[in-house]
Amino acid sequence: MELLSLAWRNIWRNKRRTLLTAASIFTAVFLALIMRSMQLGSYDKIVSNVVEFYTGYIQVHAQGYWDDKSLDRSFVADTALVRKVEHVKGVSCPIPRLESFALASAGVRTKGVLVVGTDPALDNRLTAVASRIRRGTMLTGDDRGALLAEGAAHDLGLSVGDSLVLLGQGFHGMSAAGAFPVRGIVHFGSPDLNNRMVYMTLGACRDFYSAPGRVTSLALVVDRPKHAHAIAGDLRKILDPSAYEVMTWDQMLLEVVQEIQSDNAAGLIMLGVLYVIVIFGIFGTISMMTVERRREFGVVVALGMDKALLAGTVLLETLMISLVGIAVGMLGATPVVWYFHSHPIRLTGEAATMMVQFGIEPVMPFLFDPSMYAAHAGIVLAATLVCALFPLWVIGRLRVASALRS
Amino acid sequence: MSIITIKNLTKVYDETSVPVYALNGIDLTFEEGEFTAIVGPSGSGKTTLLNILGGLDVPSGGAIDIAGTNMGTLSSRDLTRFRLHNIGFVFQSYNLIPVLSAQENIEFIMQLQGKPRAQRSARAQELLAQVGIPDRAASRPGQLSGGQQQRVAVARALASRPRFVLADEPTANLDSKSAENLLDIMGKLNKDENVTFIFSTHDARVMHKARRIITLEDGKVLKDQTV
Repeated sequence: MELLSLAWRNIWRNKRRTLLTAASIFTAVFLALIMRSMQLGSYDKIVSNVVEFYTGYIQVHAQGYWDDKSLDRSFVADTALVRKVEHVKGVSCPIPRLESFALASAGVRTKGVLVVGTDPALDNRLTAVASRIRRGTMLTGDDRGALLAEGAAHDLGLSVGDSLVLLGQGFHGMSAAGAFPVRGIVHFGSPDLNNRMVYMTLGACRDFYSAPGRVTSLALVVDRPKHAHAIAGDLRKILDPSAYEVMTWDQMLLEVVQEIQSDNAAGLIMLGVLYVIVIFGIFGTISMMTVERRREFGVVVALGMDKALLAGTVLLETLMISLVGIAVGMLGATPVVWYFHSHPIRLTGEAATMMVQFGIEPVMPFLFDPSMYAAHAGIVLAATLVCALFPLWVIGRLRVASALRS
Repeated sequence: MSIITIKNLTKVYDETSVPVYALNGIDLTFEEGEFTAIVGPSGSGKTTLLNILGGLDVPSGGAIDIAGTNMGTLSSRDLTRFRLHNIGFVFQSYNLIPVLSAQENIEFIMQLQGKPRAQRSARAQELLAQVGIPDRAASRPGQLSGGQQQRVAVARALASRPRFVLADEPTANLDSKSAENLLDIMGKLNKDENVTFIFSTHDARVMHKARRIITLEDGKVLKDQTV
């Protein structure tokens, strides 16, 4: 306990040096948290815009469907299959969907759209589509109308109550044509989905595509999205692999994942550069302190202090400075992260246009995640402790008589 | 009863190029309760002899026996522990720990020895009174004069109840009055605590305070006289 007090007093012996070191650590933690929270928050948003608005975390398809999205690769989701899936631990609810492409038309305007036939009530549990309706009403169970994405409605010049004409190819090459009253206009976070989504009831969709009783996917509502991979693994064990494929969100959104990985790598490199600069600063002050105190180290060892105990005290000093810097850095970053987590930065102008062109919603929310705090606190702590190896090395090699002469 | 026996002690620097004999075949014996000055010009080997006696440096040859312990057989860690329990040090430039008060500096050694707080505190206050500055217990080294700091250093050296105290030029940074006072205090403690004091000096003003004077020159004992 007294050594703790000695270490605490020692670090305040040279206030300026201690404050400089703590400030370096504060800067590293503060900037790292802001940078990463912005970056990871953006990725989270990109993923959630697609996963939570559309794909879900896990889907079950007929084998080969994802590589060749044809209605001919649809399957019959009978009660036995649905129950089998439902009984897997972590699966809260399977949502049968029939999806295909169609040409939407309104007057002289046409546009390619993605038609999703689903159970509106169940799908709402996954996508919360009802909460995204900007105008009009939600579909009911046997509705013959459609919900149209905001961007597509704008492009087609359609509004609630207008007729949406769809033309496409149905099951086994049947021609598909139909007119559907627009019940509501829905906003999707992903610009891509916002430009081409059409929602209708499963019954209406099956009729339109001449695919009675068939689905192209079972989108699963899961209890804990973080367990998606484990749940998918369990599903693969119980489903016939020659008939069905089970895919997690990151397998379905491979391009998105790869884009995120490449952007993340660039972010990590920047973060690495920041850490290297700051760690060199910390090492500089620690090594200066070590050289200045060499004689003092010699004195206390001469008096009878074991080198290991002295090393422990010096390590404690470094640890204290690190913890002060880390704590202040975390405290400083938290209000900023929390503010932009609650009030995401909404980009405008060219930056926003560019992001929309890449299919990304021009919004930058910050991620507020305790594990991110722990990770960066751990990295900075480890780095400063590595810097503290220098005084430990000096103490280990200390020759008392020579240190007393220094 | 002799507590230190030195036999044919040598210390050579730069053994591989041009050897410099800091100590060259020293034979000495120190008795319990001695108050001895080691004198000689700069470079005569005073500091080297004290460093080796204190286990702060290793000899190139010869043997030192302290109270039945052959110093050459001790590991670095054992030497540190041996110093803690047997040897007190007073340095030329005081070398007090700047962040500790006078009393805490004295208690520091006893803390390393694992003595209980109450015992440490009582001993530190007793020593501060013995060195004549009981009212400066709470002062940090920066608030004390050079003479006062060296008194604290003497008290610290005695805190662990060592067998002997080694003082390397303890008066070198003090004015005449402070130097005489310090030597008087050391002499009194030597009697009161029955601790052997061995100090180096080239200060003629304080030499006469010693009861034995060993004169070194070129690493050899030139004279060994009891006053």
